[in-house]
Amino acid sequence: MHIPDGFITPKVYLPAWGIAVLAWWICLRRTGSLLDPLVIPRLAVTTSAAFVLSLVTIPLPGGSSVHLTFVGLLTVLFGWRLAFMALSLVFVLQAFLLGDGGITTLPVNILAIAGSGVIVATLVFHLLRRLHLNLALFLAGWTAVVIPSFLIALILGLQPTLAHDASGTPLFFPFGLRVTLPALILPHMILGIGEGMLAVMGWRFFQAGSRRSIKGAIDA
Amino acid sequence: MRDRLLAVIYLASVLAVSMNQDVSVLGVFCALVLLACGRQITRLARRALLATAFFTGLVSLAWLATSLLEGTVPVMGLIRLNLRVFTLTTMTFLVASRLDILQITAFWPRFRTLIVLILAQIGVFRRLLGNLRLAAKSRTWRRPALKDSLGMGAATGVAILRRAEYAAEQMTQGMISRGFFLDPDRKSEPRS
Repeated sequence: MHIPDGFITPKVYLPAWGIAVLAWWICLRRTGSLLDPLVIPRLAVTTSAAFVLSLVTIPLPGGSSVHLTFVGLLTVLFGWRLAFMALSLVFVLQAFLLGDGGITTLPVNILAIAGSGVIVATLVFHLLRRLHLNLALFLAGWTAVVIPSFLIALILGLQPTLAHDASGTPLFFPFGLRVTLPALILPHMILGIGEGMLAVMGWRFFQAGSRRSIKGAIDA
Repeated sequence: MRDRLLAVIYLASVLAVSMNQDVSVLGVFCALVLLACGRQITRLARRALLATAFFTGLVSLAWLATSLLEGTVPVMGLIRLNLRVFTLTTMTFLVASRLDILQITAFWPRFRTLIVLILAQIGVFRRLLGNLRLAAKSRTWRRPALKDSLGMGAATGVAILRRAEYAAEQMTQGMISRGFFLDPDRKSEPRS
């Protein structure tokens, strides 16, 4: 879902940098107190797993492919602040180590995928968790992928309108909303099923592991 | 100081490349970036091409196809797009190879600890992923069907989650037993 470097006009990415820096500042103010001894290693391995599993692309009919983002799972496990910071770190590493995304599109990717994803996942999870935990986890994972894909499609689709030359030729991404909305949302609605399942499965895995770790630390 | 200067030059170059729409100027930028790569030119250019080829190629081909249907060929647009993407990506790889992320995050030790742990675990998980891919490849003599690919992807995900869960537990115990969280220097960290 990442937008690569060079497809976004400075009219979009420069304000996005400002908003992203503000978002990091808001998160960093509280992150220090949230990083307790049991959270740091767990957050580190989950973030690393998110980075590595994002390298596993799932082929879709029609030649396109999608990959997991871990937005839903990280949000339900660590809360929106830590999840946002961890995902930001994943995007930075993906941009600088793999060229997936880039410096100009980094804030757009972070705000659209991580920012909107963690907000939506948090809202869905907290609204539905008392009704049915598994359903809440699944929908948190699903919406954390589908809503960001809508935003990415919107940002990409607006590029020809925002930046074009005198003859109307797009200067950055060449396709409008009519192409970007279905091209991005439909595959991500399918990927969302995987993300939803990952959120349910990951929650069960890590909750059990967390109980063991805490018990082990107390016993030690 | 050197890292900061490099970062400033990089950011200014990124702005210049992304704001410039003249193909010839973009070509000069691209040549300068390739020159700056020095001996790493082949490796960095190849990495940049591999990283961007799929998406940029797909967009370029689709743009060309839709334009041909309308009876036009956006030659300059295509060159501009590909040149800009390639230059920016090569520049990012060049800077990434010369910047030390641990130096940049030195102002906050706990965040740096997190980054060190993440980078170490990425190495472990990438090796595991590579092994699982090779294992899957060795079991199939032709390209797997969609159902099999999905199954392999799910199995890989489960294996990595299991490993992550185990690694987190081991790491927590190791850090607690070594008194990592009792380090007095860490009391001065920013807390709200």
